[in-house]
Amino acid sequence: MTSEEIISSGLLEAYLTNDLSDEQRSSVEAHLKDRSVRKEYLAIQQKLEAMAFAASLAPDQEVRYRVLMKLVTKGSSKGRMMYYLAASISLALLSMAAAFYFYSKYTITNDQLLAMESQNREMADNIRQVNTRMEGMRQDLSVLINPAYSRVVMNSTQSGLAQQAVIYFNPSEQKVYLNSSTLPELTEGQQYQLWALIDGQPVDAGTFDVVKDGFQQMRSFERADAFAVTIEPKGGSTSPTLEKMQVYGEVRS
Amino acid sequence: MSKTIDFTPLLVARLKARDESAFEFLYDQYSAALYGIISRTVNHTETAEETLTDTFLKIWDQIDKYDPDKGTLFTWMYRIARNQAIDARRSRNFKAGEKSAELDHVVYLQSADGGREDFIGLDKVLDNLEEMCRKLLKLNFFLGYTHAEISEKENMALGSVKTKIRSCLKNVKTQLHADFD
Repeated sequence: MTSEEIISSGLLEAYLTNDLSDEQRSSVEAHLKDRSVRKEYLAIQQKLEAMAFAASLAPDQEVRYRVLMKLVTKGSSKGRMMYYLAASISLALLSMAAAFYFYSKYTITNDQLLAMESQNREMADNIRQVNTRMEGMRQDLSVLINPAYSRVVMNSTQSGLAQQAVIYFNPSEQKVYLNSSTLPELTEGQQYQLWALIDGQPVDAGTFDVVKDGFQQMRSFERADAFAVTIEPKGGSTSPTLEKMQVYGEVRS
Repeated sequence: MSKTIDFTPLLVARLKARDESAFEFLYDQYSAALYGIISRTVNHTETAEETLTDTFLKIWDQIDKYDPDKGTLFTWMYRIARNQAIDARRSRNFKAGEKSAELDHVVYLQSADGGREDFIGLDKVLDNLEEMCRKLLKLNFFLGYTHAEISEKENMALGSVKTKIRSCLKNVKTQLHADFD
């Protein structure tokens, strides 16, 4: 087929609408390299385009939206990649700024936390001390208000000295508490010693140092007629040094 | 009219670079022209809208296959739209069942006569053509009928259909035609 035949037979028009056999198509495509055929085919295409524009029908605006949405959801376009890249870079910068901000916040907060923890420990210690003291006072109070305890006031046996000590004695529970708060402090190497007098015999009830703010529990007995306190060398003596007796009180029966 | 020649290579380059704004421009530029072909071929609004959507997505997906040596960008898009529309019409007719051939014939006659089809714009362009030419051009280029189908329904030899369409198209007077004479 010559180029002239291709043009005059209407094969170019049929080629446009893909209305050719494979053989005819390759023949047309071979002749498209020919300038005259190219020019003719271009003219045909441009007539079709002009007719198509003349016969335009505008689709509903909704269709435009649908097409563009489908394109976006398909994703993976270069523009979209650039957008994501820009977005991730600004996100990274924002994250770094945020990280720095939160790190300085963290440092300040951590310091505050450490200070508060130390305060907390201090307060816990205080509370523990207060609790211990309160427990002691509660015990002392329970002794004071318990009718099973008899109160034995030991008065001064040294002329001219207004010292006193008090014993709380519960024979049934065999408990002895001592209030030594008004006795004077002793020198180094000396200690007070409490004695119970049972059937005229002094029995050791323990050595003690002066306690100002509470009772101390002493050795106890089933019964006692009287209590006395002497000053002895540190560690106590096996028998009382009578001339060093400081206070003495009898148990009322 | 150098519009098509000038901006097309640039537009194609941007489409091949997956530029969505170029696609938006393409849609705004060509959707009405392609919808004119699709809606007349399919003759059903909902199907036509779906077909237009499929056509543009296919254009986007296959833009790398477009070869300017084989034709203009519009021709390439026109072929996609035409094929999609013919397929859509066939599958609609298939769903309609046994009446398909009959329905197809009714559609053919109605559209060929141009009675209920709005071809006002096109008729203005084709006003110097004889009635038979208008009918053939509409059937072939806008209603998606092949030369073989036209040959059968119009009782013309296949070769005559080709040469007749050629001579009809030759008489279409457009500004474009003047540029290339």
